Amino acid sequence: MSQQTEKINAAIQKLKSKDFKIYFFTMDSRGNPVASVNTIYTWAKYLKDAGYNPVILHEKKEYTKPDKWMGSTEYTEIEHKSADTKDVNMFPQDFLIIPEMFSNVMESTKTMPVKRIVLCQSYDYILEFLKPGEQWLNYNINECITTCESQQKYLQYLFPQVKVNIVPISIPKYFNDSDKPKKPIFAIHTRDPRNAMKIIKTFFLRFPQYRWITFRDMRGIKREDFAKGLKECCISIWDDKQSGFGTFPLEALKSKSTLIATRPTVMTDWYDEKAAVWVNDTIDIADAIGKTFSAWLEDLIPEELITTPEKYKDMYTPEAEQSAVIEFFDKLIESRIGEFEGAIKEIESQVQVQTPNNPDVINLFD
Amino acid sequence: MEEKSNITVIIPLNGLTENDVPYFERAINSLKNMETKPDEVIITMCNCPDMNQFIEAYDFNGLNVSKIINPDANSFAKQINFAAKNVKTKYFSVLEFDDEYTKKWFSRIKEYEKHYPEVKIWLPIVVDINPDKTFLGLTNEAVWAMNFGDELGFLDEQALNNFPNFQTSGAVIETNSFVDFGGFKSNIKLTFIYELLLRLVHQDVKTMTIPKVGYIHTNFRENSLFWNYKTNKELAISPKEADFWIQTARKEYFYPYEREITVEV
Repeated sequence: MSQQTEKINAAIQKLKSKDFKIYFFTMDSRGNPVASVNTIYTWAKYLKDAGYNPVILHEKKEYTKPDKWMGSTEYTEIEHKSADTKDVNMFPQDFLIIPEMFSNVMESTKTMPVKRIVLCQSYDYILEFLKPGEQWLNYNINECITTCESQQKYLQYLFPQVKVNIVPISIPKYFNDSDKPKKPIFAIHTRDPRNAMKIIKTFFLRFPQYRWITFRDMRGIKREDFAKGLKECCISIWDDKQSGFGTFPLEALKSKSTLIATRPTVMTDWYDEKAAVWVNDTIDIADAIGKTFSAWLEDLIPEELITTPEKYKDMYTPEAEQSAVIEFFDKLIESRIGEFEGAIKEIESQVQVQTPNNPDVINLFD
Repeated sequence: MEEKSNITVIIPLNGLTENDVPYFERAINSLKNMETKPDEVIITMCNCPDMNQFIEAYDFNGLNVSKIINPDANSFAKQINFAAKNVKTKYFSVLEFDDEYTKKWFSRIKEYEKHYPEVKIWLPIVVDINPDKTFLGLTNEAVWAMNFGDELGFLDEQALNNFPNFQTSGAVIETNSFVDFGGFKSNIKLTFIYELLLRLVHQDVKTMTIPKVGYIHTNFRENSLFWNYKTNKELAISPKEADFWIQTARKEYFYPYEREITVEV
């Protein structure tokens, strides 16, 4: 057996015994709640619980763990490493998950001996740092994970040669209906903070009889406190046309807070015309709030707006997300083992075939 | 079987003109249309033969109506105090004959009572309208404004001292709290409602506005009490006198009984 074959066999054994690492390249949330970072930590935790070795890989040595806003230290007990230091050694059996925005990281790691996969949670950031004319295949990346079908379609439209897998995210169980009646408080979440103020000011101008209403800006709150605050609100306002999945509106629907939202450009999988008061533009939101609130005050909210959100109660559960994450990585490892075994076969038959079919995998072990 | 509301509705009447009858019919219809009906309706009225005849003949279909004659019927405050002593239910609510309840108002009381058992006075959000039904504004909503009081949704003494604009008609009030703490003070003009609320919150009677429209209040109906305060030369109250009554309410609420008041404006 050649030295190369021995190395590949050793890698296969490590994969089989889960003796390898799954690196999640993660941006620094700097102590502020960031949905995409939350997802990464949640997935890493699932993998850790399933016996894998996830590692949070952050760019700089100075890094703020998200324990404060995630509300638990169990996530931060996951191994952390800084890409700044020299103690990050990646091997062919390891995996590196890179968020969609970091095309610079995709490029700079293209010669690393690991399987790299893009994690696309928000399609809007795909092209952020991607150089004109470049695509992920140029960085030897041919696989991606995204969170819903609508984003999958868009990714396939942009990168037809990249395999796009779906792993849906979840909403924690504590996003549920309040045990007390809702209060006349409006939760508001906009992509552009300026839009929140525009909506609030327009609303007070258009409906001065409701100037006693409190708007609760849902930015920068610890997630469990965020859930507690949200479930009190009779109305939730969402203005984020570029959203890829729509975590906030789903949280609102699960909390039974009547949702008023701009229709997203890429419709989310859970979109239902009857579940919310949908408007086309930010400028239409203030009037929609006024009309909906009048109806709420007089118990005239249409029945379907109350009953339709019921269906979301058992959707996007942490259990479903956990099993989807584990299933995805189990299959990924199986497929990696298959690639390595294929490489061994090719090495063994090189006496007959001078040009290997799978040089990339074989070269990893040179 | 229909759920008991444990609420008695008091309708004070001091004469009904022909013009008033459509208002009265709307008020009674609003009671008939309620999801949860009052256990009893007490009509407290003057000893006026024409009106008594009208009421006797009126079809209150489905409502349990009692009529009581009050010799002091010319005073709104005295009428309510008198009727409240005849209430047998846990709560009572005052329906002015030109106003209306909303369909779900008493159902809301049942719901909120489960979540806030400490509350003794439930204020509705009142929609104020003109006799021609144009919208004027809302009342009782201010407790839901951020930083209005100590606790969102609840009325407290300090907040009420700063902002007197609250309305008890349509409110659902615990009968014992009202009677035990002395009821309305009939010697206070204009601000007897304000004084009562100040007195009750001062005595820690928990008061909350349910953030739902529960009552439609017609303002400035011809010959109504506040219309007279504004337009009747004999009864009209000047801004200076209005201020006097506000200040008086703020002084008197510490006393559970009526004290002699000398009007000096």
